[in-house]
Amino acid sequence: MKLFWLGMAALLSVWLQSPDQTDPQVEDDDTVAVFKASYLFKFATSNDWPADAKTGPFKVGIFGNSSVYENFLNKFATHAVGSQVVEVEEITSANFDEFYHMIYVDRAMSSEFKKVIDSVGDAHTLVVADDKSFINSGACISFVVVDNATKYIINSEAAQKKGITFGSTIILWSVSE
Amino acid sequence: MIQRLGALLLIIAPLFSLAQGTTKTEEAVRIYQTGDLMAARTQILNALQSSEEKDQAYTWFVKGFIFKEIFKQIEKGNPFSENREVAVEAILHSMKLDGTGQYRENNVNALKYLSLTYYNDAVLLTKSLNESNLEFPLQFYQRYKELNVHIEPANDHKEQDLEFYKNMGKACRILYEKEDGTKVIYFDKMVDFYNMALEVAPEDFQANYNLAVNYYNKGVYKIRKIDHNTEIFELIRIQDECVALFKQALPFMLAANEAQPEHADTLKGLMAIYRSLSDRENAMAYQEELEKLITDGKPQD
Repeated sequence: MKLFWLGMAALLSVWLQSPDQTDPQVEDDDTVAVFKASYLFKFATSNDWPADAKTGPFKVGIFGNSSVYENFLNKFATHAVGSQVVEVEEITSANFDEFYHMIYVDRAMSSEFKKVIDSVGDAHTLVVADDKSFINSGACISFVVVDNATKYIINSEAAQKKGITFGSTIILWSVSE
Repeated sequence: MIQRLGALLLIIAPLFSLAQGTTKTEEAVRIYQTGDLMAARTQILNALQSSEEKDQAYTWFVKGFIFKEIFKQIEKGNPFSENREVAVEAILHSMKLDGTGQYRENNVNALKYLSLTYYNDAVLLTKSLNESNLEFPLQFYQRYKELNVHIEPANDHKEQDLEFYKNMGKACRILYEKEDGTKVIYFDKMVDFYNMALEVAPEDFQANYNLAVNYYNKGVYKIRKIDHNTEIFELIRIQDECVALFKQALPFMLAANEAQPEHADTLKGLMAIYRSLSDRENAMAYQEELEKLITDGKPQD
């Protein structure tokens, strides 16, 4: 019986110390960034740009959030918008001369938002903000948090001024301010 | 050999005390001594047909002992043996009939052995868990506890329960991850086992932490499946499902943090959960707490 108890103790010890039964770790993914990058790709593919913006690569600029940039790059940069290949860049300064079809300005760069709008000028650029206060200050779309989830609001008038027409699904799934 | 000799003595000792000539039960013991377990089985079943012997505690003990040996020697401890349960029932019946406690020690020893084999099987099965045997470890563990009541009536099994439920939770989690989250049954079982652990010890760090991480990671794995084909309405649905999972994770991670306030993993967990719930203020607060912990040089991993 002693041998049996010793066996039981050894068994329990193996059970408790088994290397494949370690505690799990929290996955480190920036989940909000994944949703933002995914929305941005949908904004690119579901809205309509003027004909003169439909040649060459479809350029996306991301300002102020490396995680959104990396997620967009990894998940969507190899896919096309219509017949245009996607090019995504991480913008490092609010002062730029390049044309982008779409620019995302993260909340971290809110203080630079006006400079971004100035840099964009009259170009056919869809400006997406991360702060709803910019929806009437040049942003065509802004992310908002509703019940802990990332949703978005739209400003159709601002988009029209840029010659961009919102797709029906983008309008349908937008939320009200 | 020593074990076998001991077992024989267990049987022979009461025989001498009876000293009533040759009964059918004694004949079963004699056959057992020759090593023919199956013939001994037939003989003891025959003894139980006898009106003189069927209500004898000793006869039931011998039955239990022979069936126990069949389970052990012939079936090599097969966890699904029916003979083990026959042995258990016979021993319990013997204990019931044994008003004077004459066979109590022998019965308890046999029952102790049998109950531990149930525990043993419960533990071993968690190492080879799959969809077809998922229910058995708990059944075996519960049977072990039911029998142990007759051996250690004062044992409330709280500590064992906690360890068992947590280990089952972990085993189910590992299976869920191995199957890339496709088998929801493993996730649901994992949640059940951790909740059982928390019923035993609501403040247990490991149960709270693991349950929180599993809820949280389930949401993360859903998000990882998003690709260029994911439609906008699907994005919204996935996000709603994930937010619900993150909200389920939160109270358990908070409880884990309360149990061990300076544990780096729970601070990382709270930071991740709040960040995923777009609660920047709380995410930042836990990030600062984590950074302070690291600066002070006392992170616990």
